Amino acid sequence: MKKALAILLCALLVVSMLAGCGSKTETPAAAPSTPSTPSTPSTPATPATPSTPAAPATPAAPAETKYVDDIIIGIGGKIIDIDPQENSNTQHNYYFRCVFDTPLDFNNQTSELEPNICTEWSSDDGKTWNFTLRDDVYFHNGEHMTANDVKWTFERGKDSSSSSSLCKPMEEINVIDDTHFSITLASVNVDFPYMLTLPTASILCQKAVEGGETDALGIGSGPWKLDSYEFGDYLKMTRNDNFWGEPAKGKTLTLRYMPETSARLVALETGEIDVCESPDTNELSHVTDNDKLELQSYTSSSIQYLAFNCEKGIFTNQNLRLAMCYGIDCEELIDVVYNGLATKCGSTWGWNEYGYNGGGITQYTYDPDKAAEYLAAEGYGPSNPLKIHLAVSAGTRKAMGEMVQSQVKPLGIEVTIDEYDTAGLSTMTTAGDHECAFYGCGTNVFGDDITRLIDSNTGVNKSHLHDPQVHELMDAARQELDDAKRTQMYHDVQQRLFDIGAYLPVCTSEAFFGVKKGIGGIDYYPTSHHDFSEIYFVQQ
Amino acid sequence: MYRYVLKRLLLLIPVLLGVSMLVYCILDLAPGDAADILAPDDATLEEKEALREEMGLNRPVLIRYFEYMWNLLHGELGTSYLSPITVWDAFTQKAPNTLKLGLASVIFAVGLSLPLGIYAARHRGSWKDALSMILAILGLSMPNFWLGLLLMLLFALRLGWLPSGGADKGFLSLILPTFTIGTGMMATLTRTTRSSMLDVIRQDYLRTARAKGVNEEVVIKKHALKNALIPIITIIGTMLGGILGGATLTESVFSWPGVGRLIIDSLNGRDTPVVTGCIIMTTMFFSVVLLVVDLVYAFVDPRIKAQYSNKNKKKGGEKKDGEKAATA
Repeated sequence: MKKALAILLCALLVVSMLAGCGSKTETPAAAPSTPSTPSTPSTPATPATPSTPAAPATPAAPAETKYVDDIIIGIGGKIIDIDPQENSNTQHNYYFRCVFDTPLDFNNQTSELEPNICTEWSSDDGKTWNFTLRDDVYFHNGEHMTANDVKWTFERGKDSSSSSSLCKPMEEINVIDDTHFSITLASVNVDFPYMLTLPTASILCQKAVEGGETDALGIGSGPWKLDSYEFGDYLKMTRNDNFWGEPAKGKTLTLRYMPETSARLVALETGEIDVCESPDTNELSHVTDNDKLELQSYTSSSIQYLAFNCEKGIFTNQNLRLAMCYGIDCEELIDVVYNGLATKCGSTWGWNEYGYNGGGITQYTYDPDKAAEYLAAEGYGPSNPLKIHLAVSAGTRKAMGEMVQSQVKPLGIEVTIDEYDTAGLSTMTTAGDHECAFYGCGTNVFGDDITRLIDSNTGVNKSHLHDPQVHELMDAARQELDDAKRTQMYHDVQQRLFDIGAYLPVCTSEAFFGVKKGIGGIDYYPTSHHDFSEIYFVQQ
Repeated sequence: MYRYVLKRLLLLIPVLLGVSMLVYCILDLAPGDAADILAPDDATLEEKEALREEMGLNRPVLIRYFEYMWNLLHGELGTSYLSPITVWDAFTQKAPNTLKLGLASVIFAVGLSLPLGIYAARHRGSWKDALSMILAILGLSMPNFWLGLLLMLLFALRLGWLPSGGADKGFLSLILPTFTIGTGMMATLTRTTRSSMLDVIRQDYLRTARAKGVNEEVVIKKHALKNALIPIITIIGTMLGGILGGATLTESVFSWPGVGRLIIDSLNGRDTPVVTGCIIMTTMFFSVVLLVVDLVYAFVDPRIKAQYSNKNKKKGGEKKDGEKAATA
């Protein structure tokens, strides 16, 4: 009897193991499928007269095809607000881009500005901007959108959490008539039109909000209408049949919060969801090996970097910063931590950002001898090790920290890893309580966006850099109307950042979406704030 | 009995004060606050500070805590720092889902573990007993998130019988998370039932009953189980009390929109009002369930009921004596 019991138990064990380990889990060697992002940096942000709208970001489906009515997207972050001026994270922006309209649009394929609800825009001096609004735009409640709504929205945004940086520099908003308005900025900013393509520039309906309509802050004029939602669970949208542009092809679009990555992927495989945001890179083969699924990828512009605190502590010493920059093998970090699915950064600038000069500046190449020289110059080495603390958050950044720990040990640098949760890491690095920290930053297309990382006054300046030369160049570039001069200034900033070693830019990763075959129309943004407004699902 | 209930309810006040203060202070000690989460990437330090001031986060933690408790006394659980939603609304949106899942898990666990525990006790020392205990240990040893993923792979992905997550497919959605949570509960309860039954089975009165020719089924169900129920009820009570906040991992794995997931998400967002409010509500629920369990003892075990009655009589007697003395 005991023998029979033993056999039974063994069989149970085998069955349970088979259930969990049934499929192949190899990671594809290279980024598969349809990358949709441009490989070249964006075109200059000169004040421009609009050109005719370019083709949609992804090829449109044939006209005769039948579309699935309901599309469900499994997302990894929860939606906790419907107000486009109060939240600006990735998942909120998915919803904002579907429900609201921004004055202008950005074409990811051509990297050019395009008309949206504003058909024309111009400026003579980069300070006062004139806009012409379409006259056939209606909010989801039937109200006609006028220039007054735009003015009211931007005035409201000055006191908001997310839109304040866009709206506060607006000194005066002048409504000329229902379809014409001008905005005067406090100072020249040639990037201003680009900022009007971001979801933080979404236009709200003044009458609905002031009149206290239900879910008034969710009333926009985009191709999808807010239908129902439960914060931290789902947000459902229905097609806006009165949309001024081409109506959406599906009838409903639901963003469903599914925090567990593996569970999200299983839901895609079982068909419960149609799009799976960011499957784990170790599980991509579940998508590529499945005939009914497809892997779509894009190169993220989110830079993972190591920030050295230049304001206090041991890394106020430039030689020690440079020792770390040359002593870390970024390629190895990419191979091990990212399974090779990332690209080494050529600059602290985003590859998609105006003024990027990744190939043009001197690079930090892995050079342990050079690193040892910098250390020796300060009296450190294997016999007198430099002891540092590296702050990380869980997951990829912790894995990178552990790799760095082993890489620099032979040089005479002993790294203690301090792990925090995301909010904790953000706070302590903003407060400057770190020596060095792994962090990340997504970059928008306009050159001035990098200011966040290097301006002495922002919370994202994790190196606490106060370099007068950098600030001077950035201020001048912001106001420079000549493209060539402006580009050169940005190149100089990048070289300067390299020379002082405030940041070690490590990589930008490949990012993935698992989708059912037939899904198209997703406009992938390198910033990860994708546009699902034109998503469609062709019936197979 | 009423005095006892009132006393227990009054004891809730210091418990709630202690728990809420602990949660509030621990959250304050953790690095980061809601202003960090809310402020956009490009916010200046001044803008972040202004936001902190606007949210009142720059004031000392004790002042914020007392203000919170003052509002609580007026029936206000506060508003989320991150969402335009009151804590009460956030909690009541999620609580039915968690209660549903918790109750289903307890029913599942009780339904299986009672027969299994009794069966194991009746066949003590045999392979049947060993198999029952192995199943119980397996249930205890498997982490919820791992078991959940395995079940999901088997029943949702391979067999396609059940949905892999969410709460929108009614009863079908409930099966996998119930099984995941219930397995752990079942393991504990099976072991408790077995040991409790073993204690009772050896008693003389059962031997006497058998000697008198009473049917074995009647001996077990009517005489043994009834007397073994007290520790089992205690465990079931603790499980019932813990269902509101105890399913966090399972809720995450199965994308189940419940209170556990709300608390974890709010913790990550440093949303102190939501975390504190939810913990207060779960503490209250836990305490009330334990009180109910204590009262159920009286109905199950006449000796405990007799104790309550004796106390009342004694107190009544003392009162009468006192009155007599006063009259004299």
